[in-house]
This record gives sequence, C-alpha cells and structure tokens, in this order.
Amino acid sequence: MPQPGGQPAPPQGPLVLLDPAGGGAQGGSSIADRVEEKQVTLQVAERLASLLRARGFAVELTREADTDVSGDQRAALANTSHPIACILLHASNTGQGVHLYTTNLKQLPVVDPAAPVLWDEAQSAFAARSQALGVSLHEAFGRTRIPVAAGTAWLRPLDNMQCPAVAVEMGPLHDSTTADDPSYENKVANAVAGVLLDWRNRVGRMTPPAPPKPAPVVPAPVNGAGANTAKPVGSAQ
Amino acid sequence: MIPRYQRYLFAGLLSCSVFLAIFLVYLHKKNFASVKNADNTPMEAPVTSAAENVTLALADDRDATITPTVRSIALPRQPVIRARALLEHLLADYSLPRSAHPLNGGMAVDDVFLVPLPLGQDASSRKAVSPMKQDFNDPLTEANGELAVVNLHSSWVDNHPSGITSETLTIQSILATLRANLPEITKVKFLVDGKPRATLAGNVVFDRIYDAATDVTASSQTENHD
Repeated sequence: MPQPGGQPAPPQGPLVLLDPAGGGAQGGSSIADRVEEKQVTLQVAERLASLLRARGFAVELTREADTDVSGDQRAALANTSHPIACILLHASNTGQGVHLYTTNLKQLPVVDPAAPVLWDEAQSAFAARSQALGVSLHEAFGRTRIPVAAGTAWLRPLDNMQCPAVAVEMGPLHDSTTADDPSYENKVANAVAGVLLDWRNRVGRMTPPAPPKPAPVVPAPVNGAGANTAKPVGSAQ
Repeated sequence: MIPRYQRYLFAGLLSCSVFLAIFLVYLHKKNFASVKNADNTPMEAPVTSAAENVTLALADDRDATITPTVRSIALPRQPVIRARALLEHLLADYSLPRSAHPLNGGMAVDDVFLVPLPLGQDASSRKAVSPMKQDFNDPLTEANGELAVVNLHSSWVDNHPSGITSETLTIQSILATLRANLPEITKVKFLVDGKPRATLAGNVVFDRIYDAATDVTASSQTENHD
C-alpha cells in the first residue's frame, strides 16, 4: 500500500489477524467484578500484537478500541487481507484453562477457485490447516502450566473466514485466577506468539487461491452464417 | 280455629322460604357459570410409567467433555412428550449446585416437534432441480429418520452463560441425549419462542440444522498439575 508521501511501503512480514471478541454493546461474559470479556480480549490482543510485531509479523486487529464490530465485518477483514493465521480471542468465567476451537466444517477435497463459496462455509477450504494450527497451539499450551482442551464448534465469524483460524478461549485456572490476570494473559500471548513463529516457518505465506478475474462477455465475430455466440475476452481459442 | 297471629307467622315464614330459594338459585347461577362454560375436554388419562434407565449426555465445562450418564427416570412413552421430558430432566440437572456445567434453572423447553424425514419426497420434483442448484440442496430433503424441532423459552436462552465452551456443550449435550434415547432423531433444529436465533448466547451458531450423530464431537484434554 503506498504511503502518503508517495513512497512505497516497506516490505512487511507475514500478516496475522487477531480478533478480540466483543466490543461496544457486546460485552460478552462477565470475567470478574466490573470486568467484561471484551476488555480482556482486547488486552490479550494488544499484548499478542506487540509480541508478534517484535518478531517481524504484520498484525491486524479487527478492533483496536471498544467499538462494535459485526461478525461479518471481522470475517470480511480476514478474507481481504489474506493472513497466514487468524486468532480469535475469547474469555469466559466457566471452564478451566484454555480451550481451543477450530471449525466443525469438513475440509473440501479440492478447492476450485472458480466455484462459488458459501459464506457460512468459507472456512471449509482451510479446515485442515486450521486443525494443524490448533494442534500446534494445543501442544504449546500443553508445555505450559495452563490446562488446555481442544474441540470443534460452529462459530461465526470463524466459519466465514478464509484463513487458518483458531478460537482461543481463556477460562479460570485451578487457583481461581481469572482471565483478566496480567500474568495469565502474558502466558497465553507468549504461547500463541511462539506457535505463530513456528507456523510462519512451516507454512510461509498461506494466501488462498485468488478467484479468477471476471472477463467481460462480448459477442464473437460472426463468421458467415455462424451462430451469434458469446465468448469471454481472453478465453482460450 | 287458628289464631290470626299464627296465620301471619306462617305466611311470613313461607315468604322467607320462597325468597331464600330464589336467592339460592340466583347465587348458584352466578357462581357456577364459569364452571359451566369451562373447557370440559377430557384430559389425557394419567399413565403410570415405571422408572427406566435413560442416558443423559452430561457436559463438564472444566475439560469440555460430554459423559454419557445413566439415570433412572420415569418417562412417558409417546416420543414427542418423551423427548421434551428428557430435555427438561437434562437441563434441570444443570441447574443443580453440583453441576459441572452450571446453567440457570427455570422452564427451558416449550415444545418438541418430530418431523419425519426426508422432506419433499416427490422424486419428480427432485429431478426438476437444475445441476447448478444440486450442490446447495436442502439436507432435509435427503436425510432419513426424524427432525426434532426444539422450541426453547427465551427467558431461559437469554440467561444462558456466554462463552464458546458453555454454549457448545449445551448444544452437544442436547444432541447426544436425544440421539442416545431416541435414535430415530437424526437432525435437530432449535427455535427460541418459535423463531430462529443466530447464536445461543453470542458465540455459537444456533440457527443451523444440527446433525445429531456427527455434530457431537468429543474433546481431547491435557491437564498439567503442579
């Protein structure tokens, strides 16, 4: 993207999209006294973004303040920026430790760039890669002292995203430490950043196949009494 | 010869009796009119059901797992009422203090409807679908078994805890419990006060048609103790 002075932007590292849940009127779970999920997820996203930028990643957040962002807007940002990973950050006052969720959609066997993609099933082209990222995160949290569980769920906007996507939900710990505890947030951010560093080395830039550019349809030259057929410009002769 | 005062007394007492009789008839009509006009449709005769072993798929928030648990419960035989009673038992269990998946109490299930599948079995109409549209066919036209439409009270759904784990486990617990006890149920659709709702409590999709067999996914757990 060109900068205001007309200078080309410096080359950036691979992009990671962070999606702090909630925002604005969507407070989410009540994590502690006067602490809502939307505050905790934004704090963790900011910590994680700092760590990732220090490691050479470009980071985009679906919200950087207490603003209302719809699920479709979050997914649209993921689908237009082509990140190598999308991390959806959630917090809850139930459960224990960190719970990781990937899509319940089945991986598409062959991705045809020209095929229409259902909005609710956009993640299906990335299901296997999301699963692999989820396994890496599970292993990383397993090395920490944080209890971790993994599963699949039907989630929006995760199911609408065209990127390897994992939802990370922070619950209370054994000792009743809640998700708004700064050391807990740091541990989670460190674990995720470490995994993404490895993920970058493993898969590189995972840009989804670009859809073909639509070509205008014009009438083909009429040869003799030939039919007035139409051919797209640039199509094979 | 009857004295005059006795005749007057007799006439007075007779008048009082007639007046009281008329008054009683008036009161009877007034007070029992509502009973007379009430719906006298005979109620379904109570059926004594013996307690039987049923499987409740109980959720645990700590490790995000679902554990099939056998309970001895008296349930009606009719599948629709049985499904509703089963879900009421399941969700009431989560309102107990010892629950590992704490939910608010109160009436959760308004109704359960069972719809035979597949919908629209007319083969000729299926042939009319264009090849482009075949990829997006409604799964209910191809599934077998029964679709359970579970209509929940908004008062219960509105108070459901928000969180991916909590919401996912509630849905999967309902699916697994229905599947375990009523195997003919293959698909489940949730409504809230008769209308679809996008998410259960802000996170997990609630307006899709769930597959009772495959949408219940077991969670793995790794726990590290100090």
